[in-house]
Order: sequence, then structure tokens, then C-alpha cells
Amino acid sequence: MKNDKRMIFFFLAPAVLAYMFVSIYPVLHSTFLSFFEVSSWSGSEMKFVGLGNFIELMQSKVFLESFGRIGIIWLMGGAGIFGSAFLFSALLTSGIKGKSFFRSAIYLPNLIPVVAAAAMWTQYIFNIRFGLSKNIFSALGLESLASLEWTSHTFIFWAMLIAYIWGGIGHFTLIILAGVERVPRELLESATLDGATMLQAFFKITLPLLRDVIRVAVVLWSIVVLNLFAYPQAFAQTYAEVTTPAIYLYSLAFGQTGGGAGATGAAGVVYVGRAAAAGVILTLMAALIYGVLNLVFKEEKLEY
Amino acid sequence: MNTRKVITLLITLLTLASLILSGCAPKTTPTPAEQPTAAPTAEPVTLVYWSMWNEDEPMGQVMKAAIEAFQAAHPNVTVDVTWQGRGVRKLFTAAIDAGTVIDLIDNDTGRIALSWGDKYILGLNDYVTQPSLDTAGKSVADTIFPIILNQYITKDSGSMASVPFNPYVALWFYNKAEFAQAGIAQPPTTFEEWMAANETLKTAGIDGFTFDPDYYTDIMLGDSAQRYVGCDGLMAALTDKTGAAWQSEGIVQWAQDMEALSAYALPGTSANLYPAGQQAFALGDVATTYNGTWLPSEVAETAGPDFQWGAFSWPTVTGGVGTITDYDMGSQGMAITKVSQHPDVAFEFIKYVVSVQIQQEVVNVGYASSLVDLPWSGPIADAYPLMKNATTAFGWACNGWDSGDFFANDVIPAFNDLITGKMTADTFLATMEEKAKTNIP
Repeated sequence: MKNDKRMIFFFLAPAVLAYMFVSIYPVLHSTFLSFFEVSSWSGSEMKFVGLGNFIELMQSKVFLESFGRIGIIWLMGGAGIFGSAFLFSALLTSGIKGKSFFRSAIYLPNLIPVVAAAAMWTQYIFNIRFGLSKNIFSALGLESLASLEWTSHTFIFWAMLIAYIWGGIGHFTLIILAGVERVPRELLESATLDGATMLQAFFKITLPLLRDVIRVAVVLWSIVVLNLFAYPQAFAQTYAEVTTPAIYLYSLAFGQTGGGAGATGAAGVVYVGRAAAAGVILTLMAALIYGVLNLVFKEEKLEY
Repeated sequence: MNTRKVITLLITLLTLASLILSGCAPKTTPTPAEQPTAAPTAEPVTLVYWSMWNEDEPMGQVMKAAIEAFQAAHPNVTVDVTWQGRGVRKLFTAAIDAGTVIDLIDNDTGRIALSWGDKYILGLNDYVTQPSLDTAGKSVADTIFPIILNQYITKDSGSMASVPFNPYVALWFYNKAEFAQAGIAQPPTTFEEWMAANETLKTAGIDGFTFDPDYYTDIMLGDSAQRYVGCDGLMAALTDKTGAAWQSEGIVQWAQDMEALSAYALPGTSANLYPAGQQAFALGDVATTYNGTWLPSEVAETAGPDFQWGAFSWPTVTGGVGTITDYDMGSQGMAITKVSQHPDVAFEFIKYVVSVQIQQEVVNVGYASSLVDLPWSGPIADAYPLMKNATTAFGWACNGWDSGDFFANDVIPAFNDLITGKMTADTFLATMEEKAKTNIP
């Protein structure tokens, strides 16, 4: 049969068109909307404002602060999650008994719906009157930590960050673990025979060989943090202290989440165009992070 | 023989045809004479109702009863209900914009009239004068608390936008058993009496109050400030770019009193996340909590049937603007959309929702009825006379949310600290004055 390259196009077309419709079209439409002031969901009242929405966002204290917040989450949460993931991977590949049990146990938090997990952390673990944290710190004699009001608006961000790290460890442990397991045993064994310590073997052999895996994991982590929505929403949806860019975007598009049952005024106003602009900024940031990470971790085909 | 064949063929064909045709026809087609005379129209009508309730919750069951009663009386009308839950407030306008046909929508009366208004909602001025369903000699409007019925009108046409069917009032709820134990006979009406009561409770080893700051700091703030400077006075402070209003006499006194009150907060109140605070009250850990008339049904299982519920209005202050009969109140109301093709039939359904028969069901499940002459029962029985004697209704949190981001991002968190004893009045006032200068656009 003649190799007709046009056939490739015809066979791929349905998938490509479907992808473009559900994925590319919303991106393009959001970008289009971001240049307009849109005060209803039908888009029936649109006014071209150029870069007005972007300028408004850049002047919004709430929006800018929300980026600072996810910056802290990215850095500190990332340190907590990747630190734990490496530690657990090392433990799980060290030949301990019951590996599959521990692997499942570490992954378990990912199976708990965020809303249920948040209720557990806020109403039980961090409960100031009878919570687990209070009991543990009291038993250890750390009264100042036992009486810390984790779920007050002052500390809610840190309480959420701890819960978020807990919820993310399992996922990233599996990714790192898969990479660690691919590192050939004989390399580590020969290093050990040559007198390398465990730490040296980790930093000189395991880590360099994991570069591609780490790059992918960091890209995933960055995107997850950029879009962080469920945890702050389930933790304390009315507290400004946990507002992330995605939460802010949502409140622009659907009205304030605060304001209780009967709040009108600000609660009823929607800024669809400005929300779209916030979405565009988030997309650009994701692309930027991806680009920067590709520069930092230059892709090299390592064969081992 | 030929003739017989033709006849046989004809008979067979006729029989077949009659069988086929009768199969096509509706099995039971009621003749017009069989239909009840009460039907507003003989044509089959479907009303699409997007409900703010979930089917299983008590008010969902009440709405179901209303639909059943209405459909029984109007066999030609079907109410096609979708139990959207509270999220409907975010879906409604988008759905209408996208061309969805919805006839009936229920939600907060303020939101219906002010946020949705004339663009989405049909004015009901000409409808509410119709006779009520089961209160002889009274129109629909006559049967409903006027203070609630007239609280909100649309901005453009000034129309009544919805018929209230489940009002709420923000109140201090108190544990009567604990008040009795401490020797307090009557709930306080003035700030001095209130502080004395708190002191008496403290002596008896009972903590004064708690609440859920993530949900109710806004009404604690707005409703307390109303007693000192009124909603206009609060709004003036929330929109004063110079920040000077935060050093005015009434505002200063308010902040100082709130600092004094904070001494009686249940320890750990600032760490409450809904529903931790109201649960603490229902468990008897604290004597009072500030909440709305929906509270008893939310904590019914924790409080149990023996809990002795009492309610009082936010105490007043000497020289203050607000009076004891001013309340933060509102209601859930039923409205007809602008796109409804059957507004008359839809209003007929609304009459059922606010009939004595259905409103009695509302009372039976422990919720507040909007009918003037139907007393509330159980835990909110004490709140009914307060509602009946109310003279002024103001919006949620004294309409503080209308002032914008300064209220949400600066004033609420600071007041949260003030009322839970984490910040002094002086720091609160100085912080607000400072932030007003930079954060009010």
C-alpha cells in the first residue's frame, strides 16, 4: 500500500478537533474575554477595555497578595512534600518489610476527598478544645503550642499548609519512588564498595539520575499550586488569609464567597472579563514556570 | 367468492386500522368536563422551579408538600422542580443568560430584588393584591409581615420582586437553663444589663458567648455598630478615605464596649470554624451565641429536645442610634422570572407556598413562617414576638458588604480580633484609621 501521509491527518483529525474544541477553544475565548468588561455570563453586555482588566488586577492588593501566598506554599509546601517524598522513597527502597502496605498507607491521604480531609483537620485535629494537636502538645508539655489557635484567621494559612503537605506527599512519593526504583542497583552497590556513604551515593548517583523525574514533578507541583482552590475553599472559604489566585478568580466570576446568607451588594456583582484576565495571567505564569524549569533542568537523554 | 374476499379484506383492514389508531391515542384523555373548575387554565402547563433547597432537608420537604397540594388542585399543571441547593444563587443568572427557561426561583429577598432585579425578575405589585388562598378576606400581601414584604424593591422599576415565605432574624440565642442557674431572670436589653448578666454568669462559672467567626463576624460587626451609630454611621466610617470617622465619638464608644464584651468570650472563640461555635453553644459549653433563626434546626441533633432555647435582641446603648426593635433580618422569597411564559399560574403556586396550610408545615419543621398571625414554635417561639414587634429591618451586617474590599479584607479580620479579645479598642481604631487612608479606593 502506498504510504499516503495525508491519511495520517484524516485519522488524527477527529481527536485533534475534539481536543481543540474542549481545550484550545476555552483558552482562546478566555483570552478574548479578558480584553472586555463583561458583567453577565451570557456576555450580552460587553465593553472593550483593552488591557484595563489586567491593569485593575495588577493594582488589586488582594490579587497580588494571593500570589505571594502561593509563592510561600510553593516554596515551603514544596520543601515539605519533596523532602518527605525523598525520605519515604529511600525508606521504601531500602528493603523494609511490608513495602506495599507502607506505599498504600503513604498514598492514602490522596484518596480522601478534600472536603472530608479539611473537616478532619479543622474540626478535629486543630480543634482548640479537644483536638489531636492540643492533646499531643499538652502531653509533650509544650503548652504554648497546645494552646495555639491554629484555626483562627491569624494561623489558618499555616494550618492549611500543613494539611496540604499531608495531602500531597503520597502523590509525589509515588512519582519519586518510580524514579528511584529505576536507578540500577549495581551502580549504588559499586559506589558503596568504593567507600561512598549513603548520603554521597544519594547526592552523586541517585539525584543526578532522577533529574528528568524531578523536572516533571516540579512542573506538576507548580501547576497544582498555581491552581490551588479546593483546600482553601474547604478550610475557611470566607477568610481572606487563605485567598489564592484561583479563589480570587472564582469570586470575580461568580460573586463574593463571603457575606453570608443575605449579603447583597458586592455579593451579586460578577466580573467575567476580569476573571478571564486572571485566568490568562495564571496560564502565562504556568508557561513561564515551565520554560524556566526547562532551562534549569536541561533535558538530556540519560541511558542507564 | 370475489365479493366475499373483498369484504373480508375490508373488515380486516378496518379492524387493523382501528387497533392501530386506538393504540396511538392517549389512554386517558380527560374531557374538559372532568377537569376541576379551580384550574386557572385547561391547557397542560409545566412550571420549571429551581429550588434553593435540597430535597431531603426540612424546607425541601415543605416545598414538596406545597407542590403536591398545588398539583392535586391543578391536575393540568406540573411543577418540574430541580433541587439546586444554595449554589443556585451562582447558577441562576448564568442559566437565564444562556436561555434556560425557569419560571420560579426562590432565594434571599434582598438578592432577588437588588442583585437580580428587573433584568431577571417579574414585578409582583399587581399580583400580591390577589386574595390569599386560605385566609378569608385578606390579600396575599395582607397576610405577610409588612416589614419583610416591603424590605426590598427593585432599583429600576421599584417593584416588589418576591413573596417572602421564610423570614430570618439575627438574634442572641441563650440557654435558659444556664441563665436560671446563674440567677438571671430576664435577658438583658441594655449594654449595662448585658455586662452585669455576663458578670453573673462568670461568677456562676459559665462563659458568656461564642460564635463562628468565619461565618458571623460580619453580622456581629454590623449589628453591634448599628446600635451605636446606625447603618449610615457605619457606612460613613467604611467609606471615609480620611479615616477620621474611626475617631468619632460613637465609633470609639462602640469599639471600647466590644473590647469590654470580649472579656466574656468562650476561650478559643477566635479559633472556631463553622460549626464549632454553634456546636459549643448547643452542647451547653457557653450561655449565648449570636446567630439567626435558622440556628436551632442546624444544631437540633446536638442540642436535643430538652435544650431550653431563649432569644433576645442586641442590647441597646445610651445615646446610641439603634433601638431594641431594629433587627438585622431578611427572608427567603419566591419569585417569578422575566422569561416565564406562565406568570399567572406561577403566582398561583406562590399562593400555595404562603398559604396557612403550607406555612404551618414550615413552623412544624422548626422554621420561621412569614405569616403575621402564625406563631413560631419550639426553639424559636421566643423569637416570634420579637419579629412581630420589630420596627426597622436592616440588611445583612448593616449592609457592610456594599462598601467593598476594605470591609472584607481589613475591617472584618480586625473586628474578629477585637471581639475575641486579641486586639484592644485603641489598636483597632488606630489600625482602621490608618488602613482607611490607603485601602479605600
